[in-house]
Amino acid sequence: MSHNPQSDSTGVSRTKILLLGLRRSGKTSIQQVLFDSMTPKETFYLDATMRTVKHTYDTIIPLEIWDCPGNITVETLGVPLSVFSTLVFVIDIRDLYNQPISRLVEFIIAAYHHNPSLNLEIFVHKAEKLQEDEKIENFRQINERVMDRLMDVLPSLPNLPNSSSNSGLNTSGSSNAQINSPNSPNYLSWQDFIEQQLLMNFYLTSIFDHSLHQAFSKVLQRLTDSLPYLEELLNIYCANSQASKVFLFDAPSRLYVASDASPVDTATYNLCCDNLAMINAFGTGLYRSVSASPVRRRRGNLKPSDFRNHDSDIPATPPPSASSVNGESLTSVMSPSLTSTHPTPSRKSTGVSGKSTSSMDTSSVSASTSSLGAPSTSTLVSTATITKMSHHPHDHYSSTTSISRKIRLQTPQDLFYPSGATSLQPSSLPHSYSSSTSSSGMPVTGTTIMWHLVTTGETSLIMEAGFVSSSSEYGSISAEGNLSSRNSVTSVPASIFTTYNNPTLILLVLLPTSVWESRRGLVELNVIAVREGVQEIVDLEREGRGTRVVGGALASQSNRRS
Amino acid sequence: MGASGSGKTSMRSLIFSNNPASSTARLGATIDVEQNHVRFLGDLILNLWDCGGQDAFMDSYLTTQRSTIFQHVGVMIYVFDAETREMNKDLEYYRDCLEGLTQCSPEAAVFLLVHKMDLVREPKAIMFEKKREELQKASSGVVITVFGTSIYDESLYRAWSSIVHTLIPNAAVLNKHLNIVAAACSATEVILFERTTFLVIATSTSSTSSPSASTSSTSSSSASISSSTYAPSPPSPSDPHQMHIKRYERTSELIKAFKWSCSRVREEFHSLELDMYDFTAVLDEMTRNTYVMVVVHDPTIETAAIKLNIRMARKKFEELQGDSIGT
Repeated sequence: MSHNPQSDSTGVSRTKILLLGLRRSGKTSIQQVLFDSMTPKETFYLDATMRTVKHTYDTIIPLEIWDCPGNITVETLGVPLSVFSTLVFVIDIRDLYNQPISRLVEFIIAAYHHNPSLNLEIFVHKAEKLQEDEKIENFRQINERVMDRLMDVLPSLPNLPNSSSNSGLNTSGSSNAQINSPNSPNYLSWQDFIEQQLLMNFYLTSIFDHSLHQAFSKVLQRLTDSLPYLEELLNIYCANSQASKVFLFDAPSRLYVASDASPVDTATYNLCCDNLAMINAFGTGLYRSVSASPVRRRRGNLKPSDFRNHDSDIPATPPPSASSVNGESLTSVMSPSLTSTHPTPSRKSTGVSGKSTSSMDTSSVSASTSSLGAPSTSTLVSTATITKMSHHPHDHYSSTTSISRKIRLQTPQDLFYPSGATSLQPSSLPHSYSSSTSSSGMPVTGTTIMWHLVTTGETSLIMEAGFVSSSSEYGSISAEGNLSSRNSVTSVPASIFTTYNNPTLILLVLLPTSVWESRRGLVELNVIAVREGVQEIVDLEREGRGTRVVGGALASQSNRRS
Repeated sequence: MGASGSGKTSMRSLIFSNNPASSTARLGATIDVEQNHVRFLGDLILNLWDCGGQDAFMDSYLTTQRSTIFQHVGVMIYVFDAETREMNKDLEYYRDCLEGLTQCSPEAAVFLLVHKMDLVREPKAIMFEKKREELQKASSGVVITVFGTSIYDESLYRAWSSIVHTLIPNAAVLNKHLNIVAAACSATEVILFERTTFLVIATSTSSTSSPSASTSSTSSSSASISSSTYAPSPPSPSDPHQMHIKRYERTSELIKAFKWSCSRVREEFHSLELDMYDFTAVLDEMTRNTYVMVVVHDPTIETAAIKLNIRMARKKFEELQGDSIGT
């Protein structure tokens, strides 16, 4: 990250996004639809924003979105632009006048002076108001006019700083500026310069379809430092599970945080987004029974006694070092499933924080040991790669994370993560409802969208003296004093670490239905590796952005990111 | 049938063509009669006669086209605009149509829909009761069922579910078999949906809280169904689960919306399974024209087991459906 976000009043260093645009361009609607679950129709009734409102939203990174009134300018903003990581400028697609472009250019110039690495994202919004041809034409025109105006303005500005020597606040001309003239050897035409250096992206958006979500997903991805790690995890998953596409979605906002390397086709994205909307709707307790609904354990519903109960269940393993944990988690999971069908051994598998036991039973009871046997090597191969890859974040954080993992090993094993699958068939195929009969000889070529909850949205992570627990009560600290002695960490009093909530992330996998039906156990098993990896990345992020509260006063933690 | 602009074609578009509510704004006036053959439950074909409501057409139905329109009718659905200013004229036409119907098809069932309830500003339950009494009086003794509906919420779906339920002759038998499936799966509820419209055909719960289980031919029970749309009735004390009262409608809405999304990528929705915090459910095809949804609250039940049971129950249900067409 090229910025040092300051901690806010709650002690969390949030990534700030500035939402700008003229009045009635649609800024508040965008924020409400994406992050406050407002339906597009309801936005009709929104009042004009009078003052800047800061909305927080916790996803893979904690966000703070500043929804500004339409008339705000660089001066009236009140804070320097260096505070922000992204500027989202919203332009009404029907507005072909100069005003929005002038305002935008003002901000771009200010950014170039005070924050040259600010991500610039331009939403050409309300696309639904125009017909297809007009839409594209206006989009093109607005794009061209912005570029034209910048080309006009920029030659009059002092030499641009070399972006590689940025470190947050700097003013133009203070670093090694290169004089960009037709005679210099590295001459960049202004056009290229603007496109490269100023990092602007234009998006055609509307709140009435998924274009807004897709656009904002890309905005979010540009801000996620851990994106390469997440993508790597998903690529490995894809390769090992014969999936055609994998998305990691943030559930409430339906933005996709990461995807595998294959290009994201809009139609596929729309389908997955709609599927997720359906899943979210079913998850609101539509079939919840007052009397009969199970109390399925979620990560976060933990009591102090939970820590003690399971001590005896855990086989005596040496405290895992940071590198070997992932390997251990998968190998130990493999052995119980191959040997017995009794549910208890699978519960005892260490390191499986949150594996649904029901899936484990499926894989063992279905007696498809042959399917588990042959591909098991590929799962282990993927494991090895994961441990190697995940070494990188560990370099920065040493003792804290290994201890945090220790504690996760000791959380109750019967945690539950919701999952499901939706099976589809191409419309052209003759409709056969007995698709599961393998005797038909006809290969089932439909697609299944399998989804698994990967991280649950739980309450704030609280750590004491390098000791992690997922409890929301301060009172539980004393109970954990017992465990601290086990881990030979002396409980130093009054040092609390708080950070933002765990996001709710869902993994959506597109598989051929034949793979889903014959290799289900394995495919679900591989999800564990992804879950472990993602949770680790998320926890690291949470640790990095949290604050240590010492003796009641808030002392901001030094940011360890370079 | 019903007055011009009362919402007949919109309803048809929503329920039988699965178009979203917003698209109904683009519908124009119906010219004369639009006939739709809707395949319902596979072999049952519903002939929907969407009769244009403009005065000229109405007059023609009652005179020159009288026998064509009113003969061989199984069900008449008459739509009233809740916010109409010409109630008297509407009632007059209604009386005339009812007369035509009783003359030519005395066995026909009559359903009255007080539509566009979303536009009503006064307390809806009271207004609806008033209308119902008015319609009861105008029907001079013919047995009618009245519903309050709107395309923007689940009331329309519920009304049509009840209507369609009366068309299924062996509903009680279906109910019995669904109960068997429910017992086999340790399920709380098993619901049978029609494939295209996703209207509820039958459910396994025999409590009065499920509208499709109760027959709606008497006006007294219909009053309880219709009034529950706008004055939510307290959940019956005998129902231990007290699940969301509008779950069928909501489910149907969600699945149809998703089916529509699928069609845009040239895929067809096939089946669905959900393992959530509060319940486990499997939605799969039962027969060529029905879907079954099994809702389970026992956390130890596997979705694979449920699917197996569904597969084994298929044959029986196909048989049952074959029987039902015989009437």
